[in-house]
Amino acid sequence: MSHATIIRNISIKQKNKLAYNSSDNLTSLIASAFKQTAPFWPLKNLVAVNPLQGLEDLPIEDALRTAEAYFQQKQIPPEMEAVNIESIKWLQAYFDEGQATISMPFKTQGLYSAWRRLCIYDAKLHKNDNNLKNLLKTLPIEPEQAISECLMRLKIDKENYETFLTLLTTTLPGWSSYIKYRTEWAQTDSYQANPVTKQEYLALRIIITSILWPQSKKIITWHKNNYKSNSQCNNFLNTIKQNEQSYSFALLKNLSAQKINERATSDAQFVFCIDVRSEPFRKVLESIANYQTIGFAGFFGLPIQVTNNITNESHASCPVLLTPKHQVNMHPCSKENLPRHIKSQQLQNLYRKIYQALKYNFTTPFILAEGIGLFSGAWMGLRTLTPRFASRLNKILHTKSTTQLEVSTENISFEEQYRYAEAFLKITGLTSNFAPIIVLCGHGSTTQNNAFATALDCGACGGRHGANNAQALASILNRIEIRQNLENNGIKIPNNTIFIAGLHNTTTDELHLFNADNSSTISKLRLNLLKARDLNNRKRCQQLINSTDNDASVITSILAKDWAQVRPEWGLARNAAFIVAPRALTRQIDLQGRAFLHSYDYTQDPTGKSLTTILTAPMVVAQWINTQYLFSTYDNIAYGAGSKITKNITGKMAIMQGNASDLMTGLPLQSVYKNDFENFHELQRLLTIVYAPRELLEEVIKLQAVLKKLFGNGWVQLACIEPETRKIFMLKRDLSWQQL
Amino acid sequence: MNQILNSPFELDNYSKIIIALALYIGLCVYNFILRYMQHDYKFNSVRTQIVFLVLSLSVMVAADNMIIIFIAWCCNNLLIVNLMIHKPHWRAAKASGMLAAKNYLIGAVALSAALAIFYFDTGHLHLSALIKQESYSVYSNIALILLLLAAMTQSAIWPFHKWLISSLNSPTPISAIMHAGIINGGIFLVIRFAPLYLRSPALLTAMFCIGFASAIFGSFIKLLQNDVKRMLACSTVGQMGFSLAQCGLGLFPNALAHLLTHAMFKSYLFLESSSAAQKSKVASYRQPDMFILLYTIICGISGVVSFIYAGQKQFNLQDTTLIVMVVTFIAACQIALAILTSNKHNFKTVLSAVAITVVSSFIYGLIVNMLSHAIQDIDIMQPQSLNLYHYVAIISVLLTWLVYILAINNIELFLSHPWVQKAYVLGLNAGQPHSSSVTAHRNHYQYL
Repeated sequence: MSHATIIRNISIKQKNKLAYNSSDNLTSLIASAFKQTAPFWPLKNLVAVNPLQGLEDLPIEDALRTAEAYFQQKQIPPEMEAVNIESIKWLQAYFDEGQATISMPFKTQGLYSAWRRLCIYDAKLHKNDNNLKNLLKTLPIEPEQAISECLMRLKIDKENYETFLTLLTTTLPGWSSYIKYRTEWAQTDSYQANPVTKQEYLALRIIITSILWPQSKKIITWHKNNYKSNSQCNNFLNTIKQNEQSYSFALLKNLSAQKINERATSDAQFVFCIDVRSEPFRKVLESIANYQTIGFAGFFGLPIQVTNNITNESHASCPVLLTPKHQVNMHPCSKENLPRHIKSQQLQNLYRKIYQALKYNFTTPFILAEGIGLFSGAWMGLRTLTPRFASRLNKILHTKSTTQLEVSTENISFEEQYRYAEAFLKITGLTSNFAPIIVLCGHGSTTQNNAFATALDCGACGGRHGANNAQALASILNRIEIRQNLENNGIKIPNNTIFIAGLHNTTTDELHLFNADNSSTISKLRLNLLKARDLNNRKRCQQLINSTDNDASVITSILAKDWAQVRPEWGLARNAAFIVAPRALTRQIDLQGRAFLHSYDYTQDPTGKSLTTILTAPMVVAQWINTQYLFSTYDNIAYGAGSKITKNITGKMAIMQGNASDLMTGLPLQSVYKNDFENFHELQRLLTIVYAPRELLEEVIKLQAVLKKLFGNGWVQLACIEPETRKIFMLKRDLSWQQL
Repeated sequence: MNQILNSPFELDNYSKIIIALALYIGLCVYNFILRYMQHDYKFNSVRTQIVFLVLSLSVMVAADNMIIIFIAWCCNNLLIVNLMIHKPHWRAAKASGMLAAKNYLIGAVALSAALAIFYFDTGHLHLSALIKQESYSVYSNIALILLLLAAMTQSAIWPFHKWLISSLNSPTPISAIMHAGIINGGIFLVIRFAPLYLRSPALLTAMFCIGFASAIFGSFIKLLQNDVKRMLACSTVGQMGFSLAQCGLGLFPNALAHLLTHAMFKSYLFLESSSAAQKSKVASYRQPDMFILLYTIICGISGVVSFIYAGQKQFNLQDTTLIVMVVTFIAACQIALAILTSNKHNFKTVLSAVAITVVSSFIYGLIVNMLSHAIQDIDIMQPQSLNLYHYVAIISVLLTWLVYILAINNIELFLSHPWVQKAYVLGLNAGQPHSSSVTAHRNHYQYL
């Protein structure tokens, strides 16, 4: 930095201080400019979010109307389009996580600083106009300062500051959502490579706006007029209500008529994630043998950060509402394989290194194309024409690197391990009648060439496969010391009971058991799992491709291996209810894969502690999922990601449509629509059904603001089935009960 | 009259290879579409159009009659534009189609003018007769220039590249077939007329310069792209430029080999583009020290020797094959660098680096040689003697490569130069799609 610039910077800093005093509420203005925006998680862990999350404080009717004015406008002022094009260009460059070989300079300095140093060369901004060039050259160092200067220059009235800044975020909703995620939710994911603050983002937006649209003040009038146009919200609400009525009434009547049989002993117990995709599989499994199933959040109550010791990759494996508390490491089961494992990893890395050294350079890509073109052509043919054979071939080539990994829980103290074990057993009501085998099933999907792959994984594990948590809890519950402590506190797990971790593949219904031996009981279990897989796949194929073929398992395994497949499974489409009750209440009913099932026994929970946890954590996650599906179906352009066939991945972190567009948040068309016209997901809000005394439920709701908000504003509907009387009560919006 | 009665088609090895390629890529893309677009309301019409596209491509390739070539050429382009505008209510998609259509129109005018001049100049309507023509006039030269112009529009050669990097509003498989099939039309045409171009060294040099500029330009903006599809599109601009440059060197069979392999490579990468987020980039190599640089150069030279051996070519410092050697040398060096800088610095590493570069250069040489041999029947492998432009190209290629590997670890120092920053922004802007084809407001996107 030259002497002159240092002096200039100092004088600018002094100016900044003056400006701060004159606009001391700027910081709060900036925060409220993001109020309407929901966070957007990147592709590596797509977490379901209510796109109207920022409006949940409003009754749903008002929220819909407001969202319509902000997010569903067919047009924006044409000048704003130009602003968006330039914003997208720079944001794409700054937030790229490895697509570009030559990445934007100065990224580690922050969005605004990096951009400030480069924008002076951007002819699309200054258009070779000397005044504009000067303006860009003398941009303030501090983003707040830049914002307040632009607000002045654009002659925005003070009372409109908030609306104006809000409109800068809501006219580019996808990117603003990503900024919201980065600044409010991304704590555990490290992003030192390209830090960002809301100030910086708004500074970039407002400077580009002030240059390309000096009259941008007009956008406020435009926005106010948006409320005058005809609204579609009422039609939407009416549809929702109709769908809900026919569904809820039948389901509630059916449930309240169910008998709860005394619990018998069983040959095996399975604990599945509450995910709606577990339900049909559980039902089939129960019908095959004397098996019991239990529903629990798929992270098994363990807020952990999982690190793979070989690849050094690390991720949070718990709901995004929680911050991971413990480091859990994954390492190969046997030490013998380790050197070989590391070696094959190195070989693969070397191959990729050579490939990339040739691909990302000036002249060598030409040689690369000639050198491996024919091979990639052959591989393309195999993957397209015989995906199964291609997958088998791929497995042979990669076989060495797929050593099984196990999880170590040494970083969790004994007391905490005990606490997690006890909480798990108590919430699920699994405190007696233990079967000899208890399988804890995490879940994940298998798909090829799918940018949205993580949207099909376990939401409770932050959009990842859930097997690690199952492995960790199984190892905790198998510890003799833990079992002794449990016994001292009244929970006696028989000595011959073992906990086994499993992974339920939601695309193929394969259930892989970790570290299980080949004893006769386990072999029998495996056979039954295969049977269950076949049966459930038949149902699945009927729904997915309208096929009644007997080879259903073959078909689903092809769907999982096919790189051309846009709908390997239906995911959580059609989800409608969240049932908090013992499994016995729902066992006889065909819930059609539409219900989240959380096992709960109110007799074990006199204080309502477990119920509070269930309603404020798993139910909230279910509500995020439900609203994501709901709004992605309602308006797949404003709230969904659009069709997969024209998507384009930017920065290895998000989807755009075509050449360039705003980030497309939400679910793709193929996840919620059968075809371009017919929706598959039913438009309805989550119906939470709790099998517990009303008083207990009231106590819980009274103390939880989040529940009052969700029930009171009509985002979730709550029904209570009273165990004693079997009467059904619906919670009204004023939080009073109405008998059905 | 006699001419019209002549067979309008002539199937030589060249057309057979290209037809086989079109059929293979068509088969793959068609099958991919069967699942990828099965829920799309235009599913049936897309499939039909793909079939017609492959048919019309084959007709163009096999045709000997210039009128048929022209009609099939236009048919291809009409079909691809229609396929590109898959979602007609999405205005950015429509704009992409219109940009392509305008570009193709320039090409069609240039091509028809070129063919008309040939006809009026020589009286031949058939290509086979035309290229055997011994004497030719200045008009033929004009026709060849127009033909080159048509080829440049079709193959998105700089400065006719904008439509291609604005074309990604199409469904993925349509992009795949465009980058593997339609885009090759221009280079295909140039190779078809190779015997005529070979008579005019000045035109060949011009062709080389244009191709070379396009190759460097495409490669450079490709490195700056932040989304997967536009990165692939920019790369195509470079690859087509390289093909044209090979034509300009008189190495037409090499250009054909490049067309074929690139078609396979690029269509695969497009179809696989949904996996971009899962494919992480490995850390780039560290700064090579003097020893590593020395070993690298040794590896590079052994790679070139191995390449020559595999291709059974004469090594001649005097003609344009030298440029192929230089590019092969750089590629071999890059492979060696990747190995030498990632492992421990010992004898074993050096040995494996030499072995890997020698083997991969040999395989590469075999592939190019095999494809070139396949079209020996039309005698178009005629390396030219080197001229000033070629030397400039060789030096600039070597220099950019050296700067690139040396800049990698001094990135901070490198970026402190304002001209580097300026070049970045210029490149970033050069790689942007046409603004009408950008979806500037989220709700402008439409899936119907």
